[in-house]
Amino acid sequence: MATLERVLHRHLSALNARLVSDRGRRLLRDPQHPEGDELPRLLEVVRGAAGLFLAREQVAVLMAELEPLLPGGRSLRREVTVRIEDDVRVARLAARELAEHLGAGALFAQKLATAASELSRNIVSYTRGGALHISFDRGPPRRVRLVASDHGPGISNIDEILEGRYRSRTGLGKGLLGVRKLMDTFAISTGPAGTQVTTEVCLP
Amino acid sequence: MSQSSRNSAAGSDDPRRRTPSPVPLIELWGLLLLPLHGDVSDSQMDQAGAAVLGEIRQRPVEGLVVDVSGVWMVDSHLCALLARLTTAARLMGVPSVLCGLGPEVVQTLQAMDFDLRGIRTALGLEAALELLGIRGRSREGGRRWIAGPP
Repeated sequence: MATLERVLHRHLSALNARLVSDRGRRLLRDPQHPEGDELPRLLEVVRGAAGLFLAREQVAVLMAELEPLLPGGRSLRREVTVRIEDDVRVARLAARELAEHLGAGALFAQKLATAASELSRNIVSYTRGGALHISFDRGPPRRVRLVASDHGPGISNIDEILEGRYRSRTGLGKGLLGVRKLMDTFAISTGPAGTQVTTEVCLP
Repeated sequence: MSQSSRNSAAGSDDPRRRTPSPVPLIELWGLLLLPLHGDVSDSQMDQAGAAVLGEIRQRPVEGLVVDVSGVWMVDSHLCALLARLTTAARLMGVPSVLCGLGPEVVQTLQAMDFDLRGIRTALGLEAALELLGIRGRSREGGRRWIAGPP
């Protein structure tokens, strides 16, 4: 219950958070310690009660934050090993799924999935493999972060690419520049030991 | 009205292989219609491209329509593959039109500063067919499609 109340506090005033958690508490055999089988019902009640105070999208984010409390609940992180083309598809689907899970709109989901696709495509095309981490940061501002890392040879002409002077035939520069334009923050470190791209987009 | 459909590649015999289903290629009034759908893989695009160019070589084809209304995401890679396919068709003398780009796809492509310049686009399938010389005509309240120059 303490975790529940902490999460509620992030979204609601103290009074309203209290109202919502009390409403949930009434269901429980032991008001301080919900048991596993009570959790799904508890979250449903919390969802309904939170809906009295929050907009629909805010409720979606709240519920997404609460869901990891459930046994077998999905966390707000995804990690995809990226080695072959199929992994690119897995990565963009994972990004879209997380966006939808957060209650974000179609355009946000599209942008996030496209950025995930571009970054993992680069890993597949230019390195032997790497990983894409997708995670939600409650902020503020609330945002989703993509971290693409690989142990490839590094990108030697990175400055040229980011300044847009590089006309690529293979698509590397286009994808990276596109991601930078699509997302709100973009940082890249690259060298002979590999490349790491960290990029974030804020939820509307 | 004649319409035939064929698969652009034979399905894999081995069910254990995770082969995405081949993209159908539809012959329609002297045109080729390639409807792409869902999450398009490289191998599907390879198959589709080979099937389109094979058809163009075998019979007179007056145009190619690539309908991406069922595609949920278009990234720079898929853009490049689409551009390559339509360019290849043009080099073989066949004009092509890409149709069905959704609003989120278009906004994302614009945000990334990608353009599909060099590819003729249309809003939907009807508009694409009209661009390639198929006219829609009202007749007795119904709509009938007639092949021929606009």
